[in-house]
Amino acid sequence: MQAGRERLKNLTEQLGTMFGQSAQSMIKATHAATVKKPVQQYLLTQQQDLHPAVQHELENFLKDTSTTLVSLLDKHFKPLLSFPANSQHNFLLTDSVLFSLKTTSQAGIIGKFYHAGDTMYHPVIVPVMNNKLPTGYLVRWRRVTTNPKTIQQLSGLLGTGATLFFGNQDGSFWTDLLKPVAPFPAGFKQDKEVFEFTNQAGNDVLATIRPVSNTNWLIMVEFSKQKILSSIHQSMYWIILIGAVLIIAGMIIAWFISRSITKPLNYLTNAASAIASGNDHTLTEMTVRGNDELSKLGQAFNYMTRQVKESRQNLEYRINQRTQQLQAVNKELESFSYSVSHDLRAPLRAINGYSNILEEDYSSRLDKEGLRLLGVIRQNATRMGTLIDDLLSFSRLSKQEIKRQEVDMHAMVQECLAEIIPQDLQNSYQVTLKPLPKCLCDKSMIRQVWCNLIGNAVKYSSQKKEKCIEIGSSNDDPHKQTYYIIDNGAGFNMKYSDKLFGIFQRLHSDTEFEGTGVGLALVKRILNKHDGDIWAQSTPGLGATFHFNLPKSIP
Amino acid sequence: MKVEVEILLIEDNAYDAELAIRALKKVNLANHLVHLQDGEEALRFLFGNDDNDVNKTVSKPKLILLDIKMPKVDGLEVLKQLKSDARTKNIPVVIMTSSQEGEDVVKCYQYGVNSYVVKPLNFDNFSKAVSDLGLYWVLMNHTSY
Repeated sequence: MQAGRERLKNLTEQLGTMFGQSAQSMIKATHAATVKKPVQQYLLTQQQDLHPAVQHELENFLKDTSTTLVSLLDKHFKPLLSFPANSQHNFLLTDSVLFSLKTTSQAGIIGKFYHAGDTMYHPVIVPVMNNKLPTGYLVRWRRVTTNPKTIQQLSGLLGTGATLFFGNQDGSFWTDLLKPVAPFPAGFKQDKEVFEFTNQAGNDVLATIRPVSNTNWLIMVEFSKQKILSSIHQSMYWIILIGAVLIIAGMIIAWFISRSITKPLNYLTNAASAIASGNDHTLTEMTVRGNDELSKLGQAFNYMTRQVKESRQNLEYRINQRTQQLQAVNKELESFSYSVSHDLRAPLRAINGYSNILEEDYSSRLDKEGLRLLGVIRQNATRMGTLIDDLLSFSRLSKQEIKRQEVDMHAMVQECLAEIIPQDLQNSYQVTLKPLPKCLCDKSMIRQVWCNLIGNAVKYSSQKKEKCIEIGSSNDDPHKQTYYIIDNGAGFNMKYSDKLFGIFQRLHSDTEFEGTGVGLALVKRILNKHDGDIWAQSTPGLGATFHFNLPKSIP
Repeated sequence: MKVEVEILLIEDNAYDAELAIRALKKVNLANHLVHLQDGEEALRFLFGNDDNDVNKTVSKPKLILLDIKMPKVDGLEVLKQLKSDARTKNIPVVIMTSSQEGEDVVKCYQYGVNSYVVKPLNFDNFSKAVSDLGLYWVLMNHTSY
């Protein structure tokens, strides 16, 4: 609204100046006639013979069709001559226009509007000067001949919603240049300030008034407030529209940018989790464009992916290599154990056999000591044979696969007991066998476990007067079944318990108790193969307790 | 006239062979025994030099005692050839070996061995095993030829 006020003010000022200039050029054109000799002389002498010459000068103005009357007045404003003669427009020279004549400066002026009906006139008054004193006045009346088209063009120049009015300085007459309009309420200041009022059409308007130079006129420009507001509304509409477009464009750009950021980030996230879970074999490197932080991250990530892939491939290659090496070693070991079983036993058999032949064929020639020595040789050969057999069965175990089946442990233990304890000694052993739950395991392997454990219990309690063995089970693990065997034999020092299940490890000397040190190692190996375990407690001299467990269900 | 061979002992280990022969002697079965030292010798003895002549008569002992691990041609190969040839497949073959490898046992029976015996380490047991084998296959068993 403030912009509208400013515009109105500037416009009015410009129009005022413009009309002032055109008034001046009109005055100038009229002034040209006043310096003509006949006019000058006629006013000084008023000689009748000068009439035709003066008439000729004045009638020149009538060529302009809007000029309706040209009059020459003496310095007391008394009309001397008027053309055209007998003009019906003589009424124009009334007293009511004398005001203009009185205020006429030396340069001339355009006087107040005068109207007869809807026809409006205004005088161009120029003094006729002689020696810087007015000798008379030339008054040229012009009819306001503005047509609607001109007004329209002018309105177009002013802008939509602007209307132009002219009026007399005293506010007595107003016109829109087409017809007289009702006088505006008095009291409007001609101070070039903008004021508001409701015009006769009932519209709220903004207006300014200023005088037009070289005239007795006022110019008023009126702006329809509604038009200003509507133009403001329109510009508001445009601003909102443009704003909306900008916001939408911004959103689209933001979406694209965020997409260009989140898409690679999503890819990174997925790729990272793929690498973390080891599913990176299908992973392809992502395309990286540009040189921003994100693409640097992408490049770094690609580099990392390559590294991970490479190291994984490298690792797989090395694992394959190691597996092959292991397989080769395993094969060698197998053929080694085969050789051991075959080749190592042949010389032993020879030692055994030939010492036997020696005994059979030459015992008569050997004394008692000789026979004892022969016996030692044979005994050791047999022992070595046992060692080899034990070792073989231990190494064979690694190749053997577990065949699980339901095993009646109670019956199995009874068999083992009968097998191990010599018939003649069965009364000297006090064996307590508690109920044993069945178990899922490899029958022959677990039989070996029981036989070894029972064998140990029998062996290590053999030197006791009262030989007690207790076999039973406990159920303290929900997933595993535990069995135990207690003897009151020699026992062992817990200090060495870590050696108990090592191969060829013995806690007793051979002279005390015979053994190869393979039995418990074999037992532990069998149980571990079954996902079970074995452990023992003992007090030297008081006996030992061995516990072992086996999974209740197939793992 | 060619002496009838009752027992063919194919054994590369001279000591094992001597022990076996001694055991068989004790039960009086070593009179018609031939000892060969490896598989190549055994094949030559059984099939002669020209082993392509299918009509040539071959010697048919009442029992072949065969070791597995031998130089040149091993016991498994000898067994395979014996049992795949119509002329020799009826000869009873007993594998006597130190090997307890399950794989060997399975293979031998696949090839059609008549018996598989692991040599006992103990001399007494060994002697008994050999003599029992000899007594059974030579005296009690009835061959098809």
